[in-house]
Formats: sequence, structure tokens, C-alpha cells
Amino acid sequence: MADATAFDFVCAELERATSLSLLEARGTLRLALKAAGVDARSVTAPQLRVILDKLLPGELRKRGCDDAENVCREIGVRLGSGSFDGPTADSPEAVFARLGGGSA
Amino acid sequence: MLIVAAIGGGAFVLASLVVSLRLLALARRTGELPELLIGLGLLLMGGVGYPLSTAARLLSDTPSLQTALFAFHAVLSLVGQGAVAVFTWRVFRREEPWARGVALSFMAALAGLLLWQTAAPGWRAYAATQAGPWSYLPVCSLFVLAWAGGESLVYHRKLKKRLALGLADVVTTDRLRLWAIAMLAAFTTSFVAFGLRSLGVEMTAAVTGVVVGPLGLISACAMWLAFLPPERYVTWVLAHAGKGA
Repeated sequence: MADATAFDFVCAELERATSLSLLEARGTLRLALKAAGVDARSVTAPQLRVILDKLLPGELRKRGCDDAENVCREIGVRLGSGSFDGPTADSPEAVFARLGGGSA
Repeated sequence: MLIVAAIGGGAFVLASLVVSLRLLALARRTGELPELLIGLGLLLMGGVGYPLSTAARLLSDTPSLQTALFAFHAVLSLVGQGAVAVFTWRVFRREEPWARGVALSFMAALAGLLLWQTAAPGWRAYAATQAGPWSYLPVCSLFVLAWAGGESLVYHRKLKKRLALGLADVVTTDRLRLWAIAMLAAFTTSFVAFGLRSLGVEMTAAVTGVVVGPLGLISACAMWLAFLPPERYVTWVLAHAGKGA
């Protein structure tokens, strides 16, 4: 799991817990990320937990997943117990926070 | 109208100088590249370059000094605009090969224009006629300002979506909006001035006042609020969070 990104981890969990294929799971998660204003390449585990809580259940229900809330809650718990890279200090928001005198 | 131009242009130069020096001091403390690049860009383009090019245009009675100033301004433009291009690539599109290509090509194009002008017809000819390869500088300026403003605006839209989910900081989101405003106001000033010059319109005090005055002031205020925000402004942004930060 050390080499897998948080995004890949959630996609694999979605494939396992729902009837979606891996490709469909990735597409569904990408739609939720787009709605959240987050990129798949840079999304962090804490961001994904919020998206799992607030946006992904709706996307899954649209694709016929009846138990979307529980699926997302379980994936969120598994995500929390995993080890993934944290937010990077060179993301645009970290740089602009620093430029204004805030912490990175 | 000359007063309007002086206020707008003066505010732009002052804000560029103060903000850039603060960012360069920050770069010295943190040792990070983005603050060095943006500080250098603002200092060389707005703080020193803009007044220098204005002075050079007014010094037609002393051709040798005018030639030296135009040549020096060209070097400042190469470094300053290059710094802003590299900042935009490294901050917003760090992982994108095309963005690296754009930033490096941009610097190569500017360096090419500078070398071409130096080799022939030379800077004395440029000072006399303001024609030649270096007269294409405004095209480069428009590109780098539009790229910087556009990327910031795109990222601001993403952060606004994140704000709704509690995934972004209100003040930082506003800072990206302000940087976009500063860059796009500078772009609009350059675009209108370049367009008018291309159409053969004489840049009188009245014309300059209408263009440079208000837009220079907007750019200066946005820059100041972005990087040297007064406590009251930050409080206001926090209080109005969610109403279009």
C-alpha cells in the first residue's frame, strides 16, 4: 500500500465493494473530485475522506449503488488506517498561503 | 489626465517595489523558489522596469543615455518576465511537461529577441525608432501576464469549490483571486496601450491617463491586498466567507 496513492486505494476499494468495474470506479471518483475542485494526481487522504462523506455517495447512487453511504463510510475508515503521502508544501495553495505570510 | 496617469502608474510602481522587496525578504528566510521568482518578477517588471522604460522614452535629447536605458530595460524584462513565467509553471503546472516547454520557450524567445536586437540593428537604432526585433516585447508581456492571471483564476475556481466542503482556506482563496486581478489588470493596460500604438494613436497624457490610471490603481491595490493585507481586510474576507471569496 505504501506505493499506492490514496486515489488508487479508493478506486480499488470501490471496485471491491460495488458492482462497478475499476474503470467505472475511477471515472465515478474523478467526477466527485471535479465537483470538489481537486485533482486526482494531487488529492490527499484527508481530502478524499471529506469527498467520501459529502460527494461520492450521491455519485454512487446515480450509478445504482443502494448502500452508497455505508460503502463510502467503510472505505473512509480503511483510508484512515492506511499510510499515504500528506499534502505537499509546493501545492499552489501552500505557496500562496506562504506568500501572504501564512503557514504552508 | 496626466495626474490620473501619475497616480495609477505611481501606485503600481510603489506597490510592485514594496511587495517585491517583502517577497524577496521572505525568499531569503524560507529559501524557497516561488517567493524568489515572484519577488524578482515584480521588482524587475513593475518596480524598476516600468519607470525605467518611461524614463527612456522621455530622454530623446540624450541618445546615449536613452540607448543605455533601453538596453538595460531589455535585460530586466528578460529576467523579470522569465521569472514570472517560471513561477507560473512551477506553482500551477509543476508536473506538466507542456508547461515547462512553454516557460522555457518563452525565455528562449525573449532571449532571442534581445540578442537579435543587439546583433542588428542594435540598441541605438531601437532608441531612435523603437522599431526592430525588440519592438515585439509587448507580445511577450501580454502572454506572460495572461498566463499568470489565467492560471490563478482557474485555481481560484477550484478553491471556491473546495471552500464549500471545508477543504480550502478563505484568505488563501481570496489571495489567488487578487493575484489574478493584479495580473489581468496589468494585461489589460498593456493590451490597450499596445493596441493603440499599433493603430497609430499617439499616447498623449489624456490617452495614458484613461488607460494607465484606473488599471494601474486596480493592479496596485490587488497586489497590495494579496501580499500585504491589512488586518482589517483579512477580517473582512473572513467575515464575508462563502459570499464569493
